[in-house]
Amino acid sequence: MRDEKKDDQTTVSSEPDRERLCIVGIGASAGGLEAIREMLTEARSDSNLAYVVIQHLDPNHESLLAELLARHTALNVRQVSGGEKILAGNVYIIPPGFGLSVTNGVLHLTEFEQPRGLRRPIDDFFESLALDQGRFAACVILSGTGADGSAGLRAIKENGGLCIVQDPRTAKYDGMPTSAQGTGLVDFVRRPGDIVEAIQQFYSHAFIETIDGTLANTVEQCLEDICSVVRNFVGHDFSGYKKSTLIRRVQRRIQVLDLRSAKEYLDHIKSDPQECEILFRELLINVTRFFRDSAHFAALRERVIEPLIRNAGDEDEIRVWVPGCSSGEEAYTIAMMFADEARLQNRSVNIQIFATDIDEQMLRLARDATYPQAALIDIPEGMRDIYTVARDGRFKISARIRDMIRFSVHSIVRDPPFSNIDLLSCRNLLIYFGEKLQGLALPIFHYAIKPGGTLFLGPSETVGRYDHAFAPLDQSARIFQRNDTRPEYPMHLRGRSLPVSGGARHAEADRTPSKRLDWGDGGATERLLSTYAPATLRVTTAGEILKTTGRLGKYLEYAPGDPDTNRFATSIARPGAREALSAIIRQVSANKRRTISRGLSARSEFGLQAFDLIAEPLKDGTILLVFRERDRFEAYDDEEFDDLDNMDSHVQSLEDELRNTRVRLHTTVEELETANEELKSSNEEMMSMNEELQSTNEELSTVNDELKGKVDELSRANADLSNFFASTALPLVVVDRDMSIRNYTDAIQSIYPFRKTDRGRPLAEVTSTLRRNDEVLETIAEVMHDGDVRHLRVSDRAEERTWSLVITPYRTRDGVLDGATLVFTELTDALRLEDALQREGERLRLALDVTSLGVWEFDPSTRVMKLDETACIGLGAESPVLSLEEFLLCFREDSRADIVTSMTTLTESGDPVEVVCSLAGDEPRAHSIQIVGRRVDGRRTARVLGVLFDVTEEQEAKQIREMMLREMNHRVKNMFSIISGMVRLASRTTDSVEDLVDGIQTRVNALARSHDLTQNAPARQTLTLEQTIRASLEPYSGEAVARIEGPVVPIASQELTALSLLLHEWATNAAKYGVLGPADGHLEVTWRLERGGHVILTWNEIHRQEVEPSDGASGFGSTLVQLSAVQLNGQVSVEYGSHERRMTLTYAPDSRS
Amino acid sequence: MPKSKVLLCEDEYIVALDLQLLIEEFGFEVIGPFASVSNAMREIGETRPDMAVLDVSLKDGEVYPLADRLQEMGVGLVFHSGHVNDHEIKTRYPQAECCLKPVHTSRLKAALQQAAPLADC
Repeated sequence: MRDEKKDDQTTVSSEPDRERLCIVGIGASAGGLEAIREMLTEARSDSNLAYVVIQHLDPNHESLLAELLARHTALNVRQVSGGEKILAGNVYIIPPGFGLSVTNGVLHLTEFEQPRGLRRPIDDFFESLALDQGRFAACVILSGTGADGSAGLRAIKENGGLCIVQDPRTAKYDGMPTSAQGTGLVDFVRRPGDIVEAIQQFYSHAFIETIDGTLANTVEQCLEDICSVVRNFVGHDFSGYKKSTLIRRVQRRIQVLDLRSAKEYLDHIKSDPQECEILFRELLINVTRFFRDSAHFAALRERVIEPLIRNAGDEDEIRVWVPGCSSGEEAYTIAMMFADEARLQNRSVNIQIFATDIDEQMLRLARDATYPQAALIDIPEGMRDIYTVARDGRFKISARIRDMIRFSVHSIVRDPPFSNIDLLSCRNLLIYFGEKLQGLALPIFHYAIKPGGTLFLGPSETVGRYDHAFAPLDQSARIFQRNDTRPEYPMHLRGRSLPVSGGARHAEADRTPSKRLDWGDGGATERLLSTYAPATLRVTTAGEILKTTGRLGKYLEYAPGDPDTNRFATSIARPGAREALSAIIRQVSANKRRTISRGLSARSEFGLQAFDLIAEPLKDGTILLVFRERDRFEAYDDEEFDDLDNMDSHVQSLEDELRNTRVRLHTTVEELETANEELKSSNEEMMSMNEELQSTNEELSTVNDELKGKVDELSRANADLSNFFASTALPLVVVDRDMSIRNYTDAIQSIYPFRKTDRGRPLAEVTSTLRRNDEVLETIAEVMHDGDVRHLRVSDRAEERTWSLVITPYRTRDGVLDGATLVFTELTDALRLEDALQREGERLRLALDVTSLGVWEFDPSTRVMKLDETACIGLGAESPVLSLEEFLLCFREDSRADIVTSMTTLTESGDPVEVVCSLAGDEPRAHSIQIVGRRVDGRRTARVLGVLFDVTEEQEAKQIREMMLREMNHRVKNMFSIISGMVRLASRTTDSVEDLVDGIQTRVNALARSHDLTQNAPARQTLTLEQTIRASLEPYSGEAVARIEGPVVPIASQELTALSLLLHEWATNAAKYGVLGPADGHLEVTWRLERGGHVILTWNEIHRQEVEPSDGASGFGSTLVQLSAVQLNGQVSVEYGSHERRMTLTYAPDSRS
Repeated sequence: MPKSKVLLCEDEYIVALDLQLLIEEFGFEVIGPFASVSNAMREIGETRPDMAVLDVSLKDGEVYPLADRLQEMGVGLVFHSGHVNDHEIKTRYPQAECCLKPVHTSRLKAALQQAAPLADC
């Protein structure tokens, strides 16, 4: 039943091939991991290939396959969970415990129907892939034992896909690749690393080829030559086959071989006989199924088979011929229908089915009668149980059916046909034939089918122009009845000898044993033999009778009812013949020569017969025994009868014993056979168990591979770890759950002086340099109890070294607490540094605090200003972190530009900042802040660091100083002016130089004294009137000054000069003429404050003698007094008493003081 | 020809008297001396001086308001200043004369003569 649909394949695809996804199924078992890895390492993610990995896996073991593969390929690797749409560039891995199938490019998980050990997930997947993807499916079979994948491969190939197997020499287990290769359908045999390249090459060829049909044209041109090459080598002529089929198949080979043209292929096939074989097989690829077109078969059963069985006589033989039987499904289908029909009609009919094909390899499959489980579904349910036997994932056609069929190599067009055929079923073979071949085949069918017999064709086949010879019985089911015309032996076969085949092919036909006699048809011969010829026996070397002719009653004695005894000539030979018979059979079987035994006589119940016994070995190993009569038969009288009995009684008893022995032997043999049967069935059980074990073994080997990969990784990780342990300077200890040492680094020696033998010892037993080791042990226990990390600071006994100890819980992969890890980090230096830093910090803090220095830090990149607390308070800033703009807001507007300028200069050129600026605020007294800063170049960025401090007081002091200086200058200048004025004025009134000098000198002295007064006065304390008076009177102290008293009256500095001069004039006058000089008396100076703020100062000279009033107001002295009074904004009056000369100064003190 | 009138402002009376006598000796008529700006201002409302000899700081402050007023009136100004280099005066009153304290007789005379033509001519 060949599949005609294959012809349409090239026209089916509508999608552009170039972008078409090609799915590569990868089947692997034991040893597969390594092969898959090697194969996929070469795969590129940008190609249009997707990979589905079907690996035999232990259903109870989580698969690491995806994880392990992902590390070796650029593709995405994922384990299938069902429902995935297959996309290019991905690798899909079968999950454990499930099968996979694909429909419309989507993966589905399937439950296994068979028990473990009988599952064939690779076959299942390949079959579904082939149906779903057609010629865009590729299958790869890698290392593994068993034969899973071989059947699936066939499906792939039948649907036009690509088949590749791993080179068995490179496979760890070559069972699967070898089995796959054995199908003869494999396109490439490659090392795993070259497989992807082969797939890509094949498909890239496919794309180019479909785009332009030029290759097809060249193939057509060379077809004739290619066919003749194949004919010469294989002995089959394909030139009569349909061209389109031939072209497509040849083209496929060219693709596989990666050749450029048909010409190259022609050269290749000429030089390589093996290619002929491959092409031959390729040309015969076929799809056949049980009960294909079941409706047609139902019609056949009803219209043909059922009547055939019903009408057959007991002795009749029904002959059926199935040419082009391929792997036998069609023949078995017909056989099953006949058997089933016979069963229903309760008939026992002799049925002979001849199934023929030119492909011996296919016939071998057919003879084997074993088919994949998937095919079972095609057989109608009622027949399944009766005619098939399940067998490790496959099923076998039962022996009853199998025995009905003879398979043989036979070419319809070349070999002589079978004859006298009742039913000829030839489905989907003629479609492959060209018209000429069809024209040859149909007459042969006509000859073979007996008149009234039936021809059964495929659904798209017809009898064409031979409709006169075949009348349609059921046109739609393609059932035709042969007419009754005389058969004509096809002329082209006559006289044609068997072709001598060029290759090793040799037709090995099953013998067709004939059930008829060899003697011919005529009754004469038979009659001659039975009546006139000497009695003859044909026996085996054991004496078993095969054939008899003539009258043997005189020589043999049939025992009634015992067929076993009757089978052996020696057992039933009559006395006298028996001994000779045994001897001669023995001799002839030994020396294979014609032998005669003369002068014998056989004794029967009735008489004596003399004879010679001739034995002749025949070619087939049997022996022909001829009894030649020498004399007439002598009848017995009674006496002789008796004698005979007596004479032979001993032999007779021996014979009897022998017979009994034989019977016993036979029983024993039967028993043995039964035992043997039992053994056989046990053996079968063992076999299936073995299968199971084998698949378990494969799964285990896969697990083993995976584990090996894991172990490799682990040992790498372990090596990394031990290197880490050896190289790190970090003291580290790992303890287990019992606080025993599990591992440690060498650096731990300074804390725990471990020796190699300490591994496994409890940590508590090891001496430690730590001061508080107990605390450490307790903390470890706590960590192991609650699983929280703990930090500890520990130091050695001498307290010279300090470590920071981190104790972390040690968890196993599943998160169970299983100990703790102790990591020590030495802090000694850090602590020392920290200490030093702290002290340094304290010193600096003190300095800053004492000087009220605020610290600031400016980051030029972010323009952020950071202030410390003092600076914050000093500036009145609200936050310690400010932007430069916010910082500027702390200052008066006129200061801001300065700050910005100096900051910019500082940042850019590194010139240190030093600016004084005024703080913003409502207070009248503006605070001045000095900002000092320097650029600090850090590793990454420069920052600006500085201090700021309040300089308000300094600023004010400076201003005061300047003011004072101005004032002093002013005053000095004034003094000079006054002196120079006085000199000029004095010169106008004084005649003698002496007087002038004297007058001026005393006045200058007075001025100097008053100046001294301002200098000697304690700071910030205003001068009083009393002090001024006392200073003026100082040159005359102790003489006549009786009283100086009055309230405290402050003196302003601008009043001082005038007051001093006035008092000086009065005093000099008194010294010259009054109580301070020549006159007796005393002086009283008193003053009082009047209402309205006026000061009344009274200078009273009290004379002992009477005083004469004098005007005394003339002269320079009085001018000075007058001027001074005016200067003081006051006036002077003089009064005289009898003994008094009283001068009064009334003035309003300067309110500015 | 009537004597040119010279307004004298000086708060130190000894100096004022000295200056008054000197200026009178030079042949001018002295208005004042005034110790305060306010008094001098009151006076010039009534009498227009031809020239003025002004101390910079007077009792009630600096003399500049008065000097401004006098300059507007076209009065020749002679400042009697204690400062050696008084920029402020030079810039505010470019045509004014300056005599440094203590005053030198001939210098004062020259200054007054320098200032006088402004009023006379």
